[in-house]
Amino acid sequence: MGKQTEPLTESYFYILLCLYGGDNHGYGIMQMTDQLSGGRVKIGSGTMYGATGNMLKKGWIIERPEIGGERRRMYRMTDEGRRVFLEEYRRISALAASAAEVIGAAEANHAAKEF
Amino acid sequence: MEKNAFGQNIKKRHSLFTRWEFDAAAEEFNRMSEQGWHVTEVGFYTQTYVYNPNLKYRYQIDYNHSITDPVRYYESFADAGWIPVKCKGNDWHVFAREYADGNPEEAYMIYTDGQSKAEMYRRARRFVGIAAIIWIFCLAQGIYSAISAVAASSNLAFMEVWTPVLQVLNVYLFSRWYFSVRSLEKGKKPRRFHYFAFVTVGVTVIILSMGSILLNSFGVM
Repeated sequence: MGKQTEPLTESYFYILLCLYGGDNHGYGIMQMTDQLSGGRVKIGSGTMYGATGNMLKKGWIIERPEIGGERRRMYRMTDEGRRVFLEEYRRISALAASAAEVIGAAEANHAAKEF
Repeated sequence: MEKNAFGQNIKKRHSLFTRWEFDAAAEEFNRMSEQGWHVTEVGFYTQTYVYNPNLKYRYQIDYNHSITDPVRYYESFADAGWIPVKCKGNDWHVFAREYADGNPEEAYMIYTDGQSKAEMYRRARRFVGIAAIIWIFCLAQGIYSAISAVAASSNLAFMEVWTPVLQVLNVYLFSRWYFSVRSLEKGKKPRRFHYFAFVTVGVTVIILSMGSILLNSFGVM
């Protein structure tokens, strides 16, 4: 089993999410993040450079070898990156499930009182 | 009006060290761009602006002394439409991006999360912090030399006395930058630095020291 990682920032989470479905380049990740989050999360160029640099160092992503004279460099998620992303996904899902349980019970209680 | 090699109107403005006040410097460039003046060269003291009333740019400043892959770095910015502005100082990077009316200002940020922005401020703070410490050591050595020279009634004591005064100014300058960057890191607006007063004091000290050296060489002192 891999080592436990710190919770990811939204930028890190979305970068890995965008790479989960396949290889992508930095600008593609920025646009996909904007689209997936409905414009709520934006990744600036400075944030993207720093985040991808850290992920390359940690071995979560690699630069994919160039295919057919691509202008932009493509990133690919590694098995370690996939593990980190899925671990974070499960953590967030568990948080959401706990919150849903408590909110659901509280709202049911509130509705019963009003009735 | 001054013109560049392409016949465009240019003007030079002088402001000292504003780059350490990242947001304030970018806001100043944006404000000038709104008036049609776009910064094309950022020096330590002089900024060159080119006039084009048909364009508007938004500016951002990055400080990074650990760019391991410059090609990847500039690609990250170019992909999103950021153009590098000529800037003195290897670790400083000023970027401009054409502004489209109505676009939200958040779309023109290069750091979009707290963590990456904090990392940038930390890099800058470390640099000015180390510089401040070096100047503190220089000041200690300067004070020691001045006291030794005065105690020995050396003929050159008048020169030794000016050195620590200039070193005090350097310690003050770098400490101020350190605390400015720390304020930004904490999300606070840094206190305004009165550069004009600082430069006036610095120039006065230099003139006094040069004057005393000249008087000494003529045998007056």
